Amino acid sequence: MLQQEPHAVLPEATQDELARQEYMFHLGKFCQREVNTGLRASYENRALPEYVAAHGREPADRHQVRKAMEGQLYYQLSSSMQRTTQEMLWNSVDETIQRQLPELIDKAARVSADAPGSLTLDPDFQMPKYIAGNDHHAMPGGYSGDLMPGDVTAGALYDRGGFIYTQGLFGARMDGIGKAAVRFIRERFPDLEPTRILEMGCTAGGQTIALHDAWPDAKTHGIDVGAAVLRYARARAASWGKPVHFSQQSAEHTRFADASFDLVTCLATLHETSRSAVPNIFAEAYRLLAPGGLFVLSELPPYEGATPFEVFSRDWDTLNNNEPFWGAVHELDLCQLMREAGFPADTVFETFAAGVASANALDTDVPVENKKFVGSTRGGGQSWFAGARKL
Amino acid sequence: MTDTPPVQTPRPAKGRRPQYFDDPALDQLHATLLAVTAELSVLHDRFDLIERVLETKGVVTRADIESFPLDDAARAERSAHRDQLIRRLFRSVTELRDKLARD
Repeated sequence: MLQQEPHAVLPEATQDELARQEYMFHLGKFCQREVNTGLRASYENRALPEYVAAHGREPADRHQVRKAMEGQLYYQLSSSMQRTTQEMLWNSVDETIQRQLPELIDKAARVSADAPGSLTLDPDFQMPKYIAGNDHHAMPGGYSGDLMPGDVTAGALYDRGGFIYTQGLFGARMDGIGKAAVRFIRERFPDLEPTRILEMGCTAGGQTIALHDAWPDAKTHGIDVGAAVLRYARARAASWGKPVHFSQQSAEHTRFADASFDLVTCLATLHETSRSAVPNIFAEAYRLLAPGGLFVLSELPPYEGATPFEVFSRDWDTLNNNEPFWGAVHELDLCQLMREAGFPADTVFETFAAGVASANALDTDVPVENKKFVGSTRGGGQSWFAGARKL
Repeated sequence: MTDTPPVQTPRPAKGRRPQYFDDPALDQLHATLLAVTAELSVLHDRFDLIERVLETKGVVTRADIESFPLDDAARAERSAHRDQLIRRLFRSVTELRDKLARD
């Protein structure tokens, strides 16, 4: 398997722990490429005829397809296998982290001290309910977990576990989503030369670093809600000498002044928020942009246009991977919500463009057919982007 | 012996975990079985490591084993072994898949 690029706070696995993590990488790949590929035949040859016989018509939406599939042995087996694999994956990494947590905390503090860039935590921060009440993608502790003073667990779990979960697709530096966004922005908005950049929902900071690398003279900020992901992001960036500024703020309402940024990004983050948060995030992006500034988001593409079975397949994470907003965000009209947030209608866009996989074509061995993370219904390694410009 | 870490693992994730099989006992057994497959792979890798160290050094200490570097070729061999192990373990799943596709 592809190796992750080392840095000061990447948890160090023993031989057995590494063997366990690498097995989870292979078992995850097997689930996606060998097991889940059988779901279509299970549906078309078994579930669908049974449903038609019982109801006199085909399932009309993903909910009805799910009703048809839940009783199928193949669906039960594949879902149980994929869910359990996900749990084992996080556990295989968490074990490594907890064994050395005091040392990791110490390393993070040491590498961050006096390094360029900054970290600002808010001791009075109010964790949004949609983050506090759920551990997204079944990651123990979720984005908000904070186990002890100086904790970096959530960041380390996301960085190392996420690398295995995505089968290396995001690249050796876990920055593929950011690199894809940079490429998209440069191709579509060649005039944009941002000097102040904000990434909303930066987690372990991989994409924030990609933005900094693209525009190294700009001042780049990353915000997130979890203290432990931010401490880790800060240490990781510091370890690579990246002068990025991280702070604990909600993308719904930040402490930055009006017109503080030329570029605001929200990359693969919206589906981890909520229906009521999205309009607030868009309004905040609008407020924070200076005239001429650009807002760009990347997200899993809308379900619109896909067959009920395809939507059912792509919606698996909603109920099975602790992603309560996953399905709903795919059905929102995000462009309309950007217009309602104040962005001029004729600047609002949505499009497919070269995505995560092609961004890392040179440094990953993962083929582009891994649709879940490429997030494309059209193949070719494309990702879905949307955004708008403030005039 | 290693010290017990301050945070006990494995930790559960907040959120609803679906029941997949009609009998919850099957969900339990399936989860345990999958965990056993991982430990089987871990054991294999451990033996693989010991054999490589023995072959290379002749004399073995615990420190030798823990710090033995695996080159790219060895990693590739392990990857191929794991994929084949998974194919053998989950033969019943892929056979059911192929039967469904033929039906």
